[in-house]
Amino acid sequence: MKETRIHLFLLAVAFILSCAPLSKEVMQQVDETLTYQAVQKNPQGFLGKTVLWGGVIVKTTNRQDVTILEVRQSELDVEKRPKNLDSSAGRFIVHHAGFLDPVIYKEGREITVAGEIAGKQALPLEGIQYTYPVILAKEIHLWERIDPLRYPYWDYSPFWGPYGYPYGYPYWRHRYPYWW
Amino acid sequence: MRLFILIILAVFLAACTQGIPQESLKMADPNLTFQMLIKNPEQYRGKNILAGGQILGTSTREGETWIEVLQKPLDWETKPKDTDESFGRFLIRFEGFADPAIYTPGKLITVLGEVLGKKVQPLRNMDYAYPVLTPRDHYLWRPETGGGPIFHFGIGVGTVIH
Repeated sequence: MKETRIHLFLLAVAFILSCAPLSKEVMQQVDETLTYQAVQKNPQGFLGKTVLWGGVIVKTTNRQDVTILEVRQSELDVEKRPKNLDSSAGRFIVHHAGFLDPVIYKEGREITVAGEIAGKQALPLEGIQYTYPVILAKEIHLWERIDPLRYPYWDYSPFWGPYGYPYGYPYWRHRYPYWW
Repeated sequence: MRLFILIILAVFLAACTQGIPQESLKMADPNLTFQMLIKNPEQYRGKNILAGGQILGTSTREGETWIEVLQKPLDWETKPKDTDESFGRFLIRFEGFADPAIYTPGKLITVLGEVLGKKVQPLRNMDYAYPVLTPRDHYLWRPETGGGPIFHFGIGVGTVIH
């Protein structure tokens, strides 16, 4: 009995780990100890290292062969999705070789990116000079919008009571209603 | 009797199908995908393709109207899916006037069109090579509002920054 439980637990762990949004090859290169906070002060000291960061897109710029995303960093949850979007340690810049449509990769969308630290760049930001760590994207995951209108579970109707869905409060806060 | 019911059902189904009618769908080249088209629009000039997506903008010129579309995969009824998947953008060139107040940004459109070639025009700070289609048939999807309750409970999980 005890063994089954352990097995189940291991299965669950394996499942969660396998859920990472980026490919295994890229994840193997990632040094997860290199958090945004660790690198931000001195990006030059970590050149060539691969980090896994995420956040909310602030601005998308398209050049002929490169797309530049300015991202407001947030911590990642177990699924590597940005969480606590209102708290951020700062911003960073992602260079992606190729075209990302600015209509899709637009302001407000959440991404998780694995990329190589390429240095820093100082740019004006609301009257100050802001120093951005710059990473070259190896893989970017764009998270699906959390749009209440898309999921009828979330429809508010007095019949369901104040919490939306009869099964109650915590579920609609879950980011993947289709898991259920 | 059973056959009769079946026929009625078939007629009913056929009648309520939205999107591009079957006769037009037959014209589409079954081997041509949008992914192939966008890589080299000139190569497929004259072929018919079924494509759809979300309207990004409409501009009227003298005698013609250009609609810019963000391509999206289509579902079983040829309706563009609500997804982030896209292989790029394309242009539809309408002969005459297509009202920009009807073909508004955000609406979904499906088109069976003949490949006219490509058109390079600026997109932000770069040049983008758009495949251009001349519509043989098209369908503008009604925006989805109906069905659910009018009252929506806005849960602020997704953040929007202005």
